[in-house]
Amino acid sequence: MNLWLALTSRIGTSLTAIGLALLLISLLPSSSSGSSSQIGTQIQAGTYTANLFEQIMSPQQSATLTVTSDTPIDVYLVEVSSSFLYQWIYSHSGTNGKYYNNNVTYLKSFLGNFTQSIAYSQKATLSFNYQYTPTKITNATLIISNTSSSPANVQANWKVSQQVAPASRVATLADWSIPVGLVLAIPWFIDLYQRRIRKPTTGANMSA
Amino acid sequence: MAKIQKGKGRPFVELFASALNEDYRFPLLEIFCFLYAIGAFIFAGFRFGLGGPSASGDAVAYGLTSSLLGFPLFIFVVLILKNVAFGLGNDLEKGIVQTFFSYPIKRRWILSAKLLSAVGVGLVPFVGILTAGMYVLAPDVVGPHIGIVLLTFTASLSEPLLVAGIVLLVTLLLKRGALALVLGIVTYFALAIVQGIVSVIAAFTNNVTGLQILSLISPSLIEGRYFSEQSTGPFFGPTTSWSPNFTDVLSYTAGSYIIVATVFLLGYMYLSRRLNL
Repeated sequence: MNLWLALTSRIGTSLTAIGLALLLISLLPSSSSGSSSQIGTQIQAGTYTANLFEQIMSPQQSATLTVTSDTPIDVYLVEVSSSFLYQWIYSHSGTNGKYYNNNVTYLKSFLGNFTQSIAYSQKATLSFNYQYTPTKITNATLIISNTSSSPANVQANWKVSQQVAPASRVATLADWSIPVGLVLAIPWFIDLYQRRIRKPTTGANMSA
Repeated sequence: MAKIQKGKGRPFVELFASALNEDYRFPLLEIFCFLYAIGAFIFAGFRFGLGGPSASGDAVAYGLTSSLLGFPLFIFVVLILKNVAFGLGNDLEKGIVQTFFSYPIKRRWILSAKLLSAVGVGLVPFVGILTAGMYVLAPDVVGPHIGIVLLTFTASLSEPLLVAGIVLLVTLLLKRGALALVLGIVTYFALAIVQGIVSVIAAFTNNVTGLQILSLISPSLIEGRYFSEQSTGPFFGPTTSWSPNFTDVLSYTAGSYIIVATVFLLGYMYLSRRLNL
């Protein structure tokens, strides 16, 4: 068998082995022992809250966030702590000495300055459902903003689960690496098959 | 000139291909790739950063990389020691090496072809799969701090490479691989035990001389100390007399590779000038 063909085939079989390992990893279920909570609250018109969900998360954790409301609301998941948010608003927006000023105008000003920190957002929604897996160690804070003229009755659920690796990303890699590896290994399989055919038959078979 | 180079290159490639075939028989390479890929996720952990946002990005990257260097590093050590001891040992024992000596290339190139297969090719899936696995897990940790990730690999690989160099020397001296392999594995574990003892002595007596000497063999010690002090304060209780900086980490790592290179050079010199069959 040609040296380069043999090398390509071995790269293919190795890639298939890596793909199978990734497939196995993606099938591992996430641990259900993580923290969870359910909170019901009312958000006044023209205000926001950043105190419902806040946690330091690693890429081996995944947060499932569900928010329902009777009035359209804006929901943001930001990669900063709520204390950082309030501190920034307090020091930049002249909140008349009020540390926890929750006027949406101040929130918009903050979000305008920290667009890169917004992991996910959904505007004017009655139902928000998102699974968040960070790509670094980061703070994750859920912000719910009520820009309408009437109060919003909000129900928020969150659940943090532990995982070995982000299953969707690993599964995608496995989906690619296994077929590519198998294609690269085809010459090796053909060579193996041909060697089996060429193999001399045993004495017992010959006499038969 | 080109013809001469081509003439010299061909036997080297043939030797390298033969060594590859011997060292990585199907499905050995595939099994190791599978184990590295599994290990890249199963053993990954975030040592720094979860306690609060104070840990630097470098420390988080170091913590993630060093978390992977337990079991995967051990299986890498087993692979390269097996390749060096059995690959070369079998050739010496069975007299195959005499056939290699009849090739129109110098002895040092024969050893280079064997080592490139035994250690060099073994390194590619080890570093490649673990780094790619970490990138899939935490792209924003690995991407911006790839230098720290590679430095951590470099520092951690110095000790296994030193043991591989010792195994090479012993294999050449004894002309058999099994005993050299056992000696290599014993040396690897003995170094781990000595590191533990010296660290405890340093913690209780405030005498870090042993730790500094050992860091020349295993620079991952000084690197761990540097990043731990960066993230969580003093590493060993009252031991505050030695707070390495980043230049120290680089210097000790370079020093350890000088020792590794010296051991391999001795192996090359012995094969080129002293080895009689």
